[in-house]
Amino acid sequence: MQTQIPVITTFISGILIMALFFIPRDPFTQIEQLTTRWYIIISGFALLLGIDSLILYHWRKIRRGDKDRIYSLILIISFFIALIWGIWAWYKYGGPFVQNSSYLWLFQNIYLPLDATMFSLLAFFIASAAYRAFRARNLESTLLLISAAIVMMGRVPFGGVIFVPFFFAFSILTGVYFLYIATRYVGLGSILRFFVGLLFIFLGISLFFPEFSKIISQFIPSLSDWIMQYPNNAGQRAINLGLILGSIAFSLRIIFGIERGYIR
Amino acid sequence: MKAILDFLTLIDRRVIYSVLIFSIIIPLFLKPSLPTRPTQEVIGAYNAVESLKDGDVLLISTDYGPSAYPELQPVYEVVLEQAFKKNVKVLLMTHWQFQGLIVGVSGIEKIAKKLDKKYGEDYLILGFKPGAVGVMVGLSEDFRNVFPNDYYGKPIDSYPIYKDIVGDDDVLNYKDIDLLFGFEAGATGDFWVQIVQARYGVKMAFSVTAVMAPGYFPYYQAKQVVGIVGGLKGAFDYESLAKKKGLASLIMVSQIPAHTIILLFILLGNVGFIIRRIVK
Amino acid sequence: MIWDILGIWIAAFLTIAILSFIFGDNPIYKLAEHIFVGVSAGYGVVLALNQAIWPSIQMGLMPNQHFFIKFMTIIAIILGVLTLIRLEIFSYIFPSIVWLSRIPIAFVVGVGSGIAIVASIQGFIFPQVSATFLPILSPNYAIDLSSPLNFLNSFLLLIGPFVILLGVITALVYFYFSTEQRGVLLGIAKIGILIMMITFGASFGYTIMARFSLLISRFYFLLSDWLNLLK
Repeated sequence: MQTQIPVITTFISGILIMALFFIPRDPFTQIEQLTTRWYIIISGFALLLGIDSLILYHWRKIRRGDKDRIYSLILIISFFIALIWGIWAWYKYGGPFVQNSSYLWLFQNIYLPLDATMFSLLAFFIASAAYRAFRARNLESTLLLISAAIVMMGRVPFGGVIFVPFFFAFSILTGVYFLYIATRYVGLGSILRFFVGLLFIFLGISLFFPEFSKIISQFIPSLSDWIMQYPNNAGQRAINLGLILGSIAFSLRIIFGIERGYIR
Repeated sequence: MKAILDFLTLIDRRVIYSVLIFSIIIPLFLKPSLPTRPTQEVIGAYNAVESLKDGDVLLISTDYGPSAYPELQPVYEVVLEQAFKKNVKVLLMTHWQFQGLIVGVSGIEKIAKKLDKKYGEDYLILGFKPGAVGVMVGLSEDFRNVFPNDYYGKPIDSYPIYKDIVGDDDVLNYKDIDLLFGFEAGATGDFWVQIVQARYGVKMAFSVTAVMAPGYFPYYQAKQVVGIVGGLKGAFDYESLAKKKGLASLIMVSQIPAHTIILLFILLGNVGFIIRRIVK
Repeated sequence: MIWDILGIWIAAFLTIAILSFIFGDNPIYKLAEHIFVGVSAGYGVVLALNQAIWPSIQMGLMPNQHFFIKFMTIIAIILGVLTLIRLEIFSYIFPSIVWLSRIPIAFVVGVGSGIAIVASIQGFIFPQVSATFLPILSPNYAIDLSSPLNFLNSFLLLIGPFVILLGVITALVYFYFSTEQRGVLLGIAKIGILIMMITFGASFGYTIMARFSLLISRFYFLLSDWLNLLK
């Protein structure tokens, strides 16, 4: 019974909301509104789940005398300061988040810099990882690299102008590389790589001519827009279609009780 | 030869970080004026707000936090100024818990104070409710079902703005919303399009972080959204269309060396890799 | 005023503390990280109480409501309270009735899944598939030969819709794993991979832009608001 009732609840609520979407007539729209009201109210209480596990985990770390227990203590103290300050501001100002509330000082000067800077660390790690791992090993990764470079430089002012010397160096290099690896393949693979190598070298040498490089530098921003609107569109759509079809299948499995992970 | 190859492919990460930091800091002192070239989808979003008339209703959903602040907050403030100058009624809500609530409220209070707009007459802050998809479905019938009270705890139908914007049916729902402008840093934007635009036909435009922006182009191409303002470049373009100089215009200048340095390091790594492969 | 100045100095200290992580994990970073988690959790609880739970209770106690709706709202609040039994504290006090909290969660999951299915089909599959095919029917045949740049741009606009159609179909073929990919299927899948590589490259470029925007804005804060060097 402990598993059956939740599974039946999921089934009924899932089928109910789907059916309600297809019956826009009066008693059913009221039921739909009641269902969404229930959903919102229960989700509100569910916001509190997980917080106590966090606090208890760190409390246990302190009790056990772990090496980093001082940080756990700081976490618990910060939590209670934020909680008590919020409730006090609610009492004093009528709401914790109103404009003149002192609670916003905590957000502006402690939460905001921490949140924003935490994510900005990724910039450094992306740069370091790109330097170490981004290699034009084969046609696919070369295409990825070129697409990334065009989009990156197309999205900044003067990007087209900066792009030209980079592309010149890169295309000569890649052309030589593809010509080299063409010697290591036979048949169609070899011919393909040979032509790709020649193409890159040709593109690189043509950038020596100022007329051509001027056209390319003006073309890069619109090429980057085109990449976003057409090939990127296609790839994103394909990936999302796959994801959505998968999520529909997964949602159906949840409704029919095949997936029961959520009631653990 | 080996020394050159090692120099190219084994640069210490702290060197990379230091070069990046300097390349970002120095242009901030230079403050040049940069040319802009707004793209189609940004112009679409700008025109969507510009085409609003006196008395129209703009629903704003600030679904982002401090980590998306430099990309989205400039656009948010410009959109608010545009809307307030046209006497458009603005409703503010969020799905992003306290982060979305605070950035949204601080932005709207700042612009409303600057342009002398009154709370309850020109704009209303609905606040936050959990359960994003449930909120979106619930708002389709009656806003009071989801937000019976506003952010300050008073019933929303007690404000003059409610009487102004509610239609002939005396109920505030999506039929009364002329434009939804979503500021998205997560999945809620997809929900807005898939649930609200598809079922209820609400016109929508989004300002999204650059991480999410590529995923919104399919919606734009399918004409499900009328405009996308993507990332800092989008925010910079939007500010230039509105002839404002906000945060995006101030920090855009450092993106140029940042992108260039990244490309340079990738190129160096590839040079070393290719030479090593050929020599071996 | 003193609070503003103190606030900016605390913000600057915390920013530098987090940035110090790039040179290795250190106690200052760990301190800032734990403060972040603690404050987030505190804010989360205050928000849940202020914007979700207290208004829900008010909704249930509102005077001018139809009796049935009021009754159903109160049932929802009771179910919400049942969810709280899942809190770890209560699992020590009433272990035998923790399973009751599964019911409201099951309800929420069911409704969410139901909405997701309808929204996905109506909101994504139909519009997106039609947008893949329909532009082919009205292509932009105007090739502008006035200058090389215009020629390139108009050429790209012409082939654009075909690139979308080709790209979506070939990329979807790549994801088809129900049979072994051989011969023609493999060739089509390979084209699909190339389209996806362009997509990933574009996403990478945009991700770089996003992360650097944030970093630049942090440095802007340090230089402008804290050190007043940029006025």
